[in-house]
Order: sequence, then C-alpha cells, then structure tokens
Amino acid sequence: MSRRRRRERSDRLDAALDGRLVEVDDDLAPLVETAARLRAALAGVELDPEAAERHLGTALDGQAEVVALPTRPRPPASRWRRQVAAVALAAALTVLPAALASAAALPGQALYPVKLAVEQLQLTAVSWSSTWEADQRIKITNHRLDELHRLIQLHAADRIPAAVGRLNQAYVDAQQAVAEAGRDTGDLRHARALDAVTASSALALQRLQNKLDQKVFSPGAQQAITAAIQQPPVTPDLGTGTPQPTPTTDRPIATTSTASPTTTQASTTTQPPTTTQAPTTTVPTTTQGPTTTQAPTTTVPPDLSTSPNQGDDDDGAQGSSGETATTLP
Amino acid sequence: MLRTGGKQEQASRVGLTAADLVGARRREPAAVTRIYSAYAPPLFRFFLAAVGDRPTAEDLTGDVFKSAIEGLPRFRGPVQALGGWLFGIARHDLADHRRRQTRSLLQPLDDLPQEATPAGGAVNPQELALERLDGDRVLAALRRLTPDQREVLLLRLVADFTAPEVAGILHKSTEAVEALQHRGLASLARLLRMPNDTRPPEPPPRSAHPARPTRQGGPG
Repeated sequence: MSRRRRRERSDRLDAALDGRLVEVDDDLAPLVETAARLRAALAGVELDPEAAERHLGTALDGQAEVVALPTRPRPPASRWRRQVAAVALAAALTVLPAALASAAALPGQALYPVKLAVEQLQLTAVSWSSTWEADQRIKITNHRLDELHRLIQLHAADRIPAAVGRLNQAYVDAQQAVAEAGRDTGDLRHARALDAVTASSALALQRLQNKLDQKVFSPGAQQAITAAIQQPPVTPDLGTGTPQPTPTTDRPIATTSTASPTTTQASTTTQPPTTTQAPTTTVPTTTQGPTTTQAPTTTVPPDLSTSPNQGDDDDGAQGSSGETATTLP
Repeated sequence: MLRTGGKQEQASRVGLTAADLVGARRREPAAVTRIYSAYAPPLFRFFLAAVGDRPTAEDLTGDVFKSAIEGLPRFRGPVQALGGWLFGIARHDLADHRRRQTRSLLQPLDDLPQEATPAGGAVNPQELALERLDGDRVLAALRRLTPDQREVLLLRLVADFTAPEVAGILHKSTEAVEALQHRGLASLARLLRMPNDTRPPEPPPRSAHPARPTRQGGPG
C-alpha cells in the first residue's frame, strides 16, 4: 500500500471516529467497530462519589477528609466545627452551577458523580436529626427512582442494572432512616412518604418487567437487568432498627416474565406488620405492589395468603412466576 | 464558540469558559467544581484503563486535579487548551506512578480485567460479570499494544480528544497520531479476534514513560 493511500485511509478512519460522514469500507469497518468497543468498555465507568467528594473537598478548602455517612447518635460536641463546615459546604455546593446542573444528571454522565457527592454532603449536613435524615433519604430514593424512569425511557439498557441496584440501596437506607425517625418521634409521616415511594418503585419495576417481557433489550441486557432486579437487598429490621439480611426463603422477588402466574415465590417480607412504621415493611425492587405482568389484582398465589404482611397495598400478584420463577442465591 | 450578549466568549469543548479558568485560578468553588466535573471523569477512565485498579486511578485523578488547581495560576493557555494541559499532567503522573511501582517491585498491573469495575464501584456481581464480558477483553487487549498506540487510543477514544489535540498533548504531528491510531486499532481488532486469548499483557516498558510535561506557562 502506498504511503499516500495509507494516509488517506488513516484520515478516513479519523473522520469516522469523529462521527463525520465518511465512507467506511470493509477494511475500516472492523477498526471503527473496535473503537466503539473500546469506548463502550469504559463508558459506564464512573468516579466513585466519595472520591469525587474528597477531591473537591481538597480543592475547595483543603479538607481531604471523606465525610462519614450519617451516623447515630448525634456526633459529639467536639465535632461541631466539622458539622458546620459540612453544612456550609453542602449548602454552597447545592447552589453552585455545576451542582445545579448535576441535578438532572443520569448515571454515566459526567456530572453524575457530582450529583451523588452533593447528596452525600446534604445527608451529612442533616445527620444530626433522624427526621431530617429520613426526609433526605426519601428524597434521594426519589432521585434514584427518577433516574431509573428516565433510563428506561431512554432504553439505556447498559445503565439500568446499576440504577436498579442504586434504587434498591437507597430504598433500604430510607427504610432504615424512616424506622429510626418513627422511633424517635412516633410520627408516621415519613412512613407514608415511603409508602408512596414504594408504590412508584413498584410501577417502575412493572414497566421494566413489561419491557423485559417484550424482549426489547439485547439478551445480555435482559439478563443483567433481571439479575439486578433479583439482587437481594439487606433489609433492616424495623422493629429493632438492627439491619439483618432478608431471609432467603421468603425474600420478595421481582421478576416474572410469563403471563400465567401459576406458581409463586413467596414474595412477602418477614417483617411483621406490628411495627409502628406499619406500612413501610416492603422493599421496592422486589415485587411490591403491581410488579408482575398480567392481571395483577386477580391472582393471589396460594402461599401469599399465609403471609402476615398481605395488606391492602399488595395486589397479590407479586412473586408469581411460572416457569421462569426466579431462584435466589 | 459561544456568543453571550453579543460579546464573543471562548468556550471549551466541555462547556468551560475563560471565566471558569479565571475563577478556578482564584479557587472559586463554582469554577473549580465545573472544571472538576468536566475533566475528572475522563481522567479517571484514562487512569483506570492504564493502571487497572480503581483506588489507584482515583488517587491519580485526585492528584492531577490537586496539581492542576495549584498550578493553574501559572497556566497561560486558553481554556480550550486546559484539557490537554490536564492530560499532560496525567501522563506525567502516570509515568511517575509506574516508575514507583517498578522500583518497589509491585505486581506489574496484570489485574486490569479484574479491577476495571464499572459504575461507581458497583457491587452487583451479575452486573459486573456482564459488563466485564466484553470490556475486559478489550482492555486486556489494549494493554498489549505498544505504549504509543495505547496512549493515542486512550486519549483519542477514552478522553475524547481530537487527533490534533492528541498530537498537541503527545508532541507529535497529527499525521503521526492518525497513523498510530490506525495501527493501534488494527492491532486491537486483531487481538480481539483471537479466541480465548487471556494471556496477561506484558508490563509497560520503561520507554513508555512520557516526557515530563510543562506544568507552567502553557497548555503543554
């Protein structure tokens, strides 16, 4: 190949990599495809929010310390300066253009780590109050839910599994914070707010399940999303506030992909409904509410009737599975 | 190029303006955050692909950012050159890191596929397994390219610089960068066609270390 021809091919390849309109022949096509694979290999990689927070803290005011996630009981008085600094930094970050812009960021976008970092700072700022923290946790769960909605809308299949995981984690954290706020104040306001989140989450997962049923995603993405939905959360014991693993035998499960729910995975939680946070004993990513596919209110799987937690909010179809019933690790 | 209020203001490809640069030189939080938001993610990906583990990549990203903010008052290039300048620092820090690693006889970066975890340290094993499926092979193959080819591909495709910008960062001609890019992608495609090729890549040779970029007085 002459030097001139090599140069011409390199130019065309470069144009193709820039997204410019250019003829891509059979020789160049594999190279363009390889470039796309390399881009994809790292496209979903995000900076850890804690690291972003640390880096920004270092740059902004020399505080390299990673702010601890909310803890209880309230921090000792000797840490008031740090608290004030955290509140100030959280407030400052919240009104910064980048922070404001990051509010709409989705996983995988450049500003998403900033969004998460701001959330963590805001959490730290309210960690002295269980009710404020519960508010904030619920707000964060709604953010995760909104992100999942938007990713589903965008058919961003590669980012949906992580979004489901984040929603799951945010919900569990919120559940714990709400339980704690309930114990501290006896106020059920947060529990009701969390119930609303639960219902919305169930709808989102139902929508996602419908898309899985329609096989709109690639097989790999289908598998990843299904796995993410099935990923068991660690639920807190709302009665005692002590986190404990969700029992494996009757862990709520999200996925079904058939129209005839003939068998069931026992889908209710084991938290007794006698806790003061009565309506909150559910986990969103796992078949609470109308998360299954067909006729969600008409089929009550037999073993659900044995659950003490079958309240009015449950549509009775969760966990039904048919031949694709999920098994849990 | 953005036009605001009839006054022309130069804006970088990532949306930064000269005002951001001025603000960041004064360590104004808004400007610092904007610059961080614009460049930290690609810097992190660049490092992660190069060194293979998240903590190190995060540390290196933070180091670059810290150096940059400290050195920004001496940066005299336009805002459009900021990215190149930052990645120049990144190359230098990466070279330093590798030299330290070689001296301390640490393991030579063979663990890239295991460590290149996506999405904010996600811990969902199924998610990781699936995302690694193709990404691991690609990144492992990338590490088997020549240092020049690898660096060009990372800057071009991961950091998303144009060929002329990469040429500026690497102090090469655009033609040379395009040729390296072409050969690098051809090699990568060839490596990826090899079935079940899981051999670990060779450690980066010392000659891969780029020259120390100028941290002062220009875009480097």
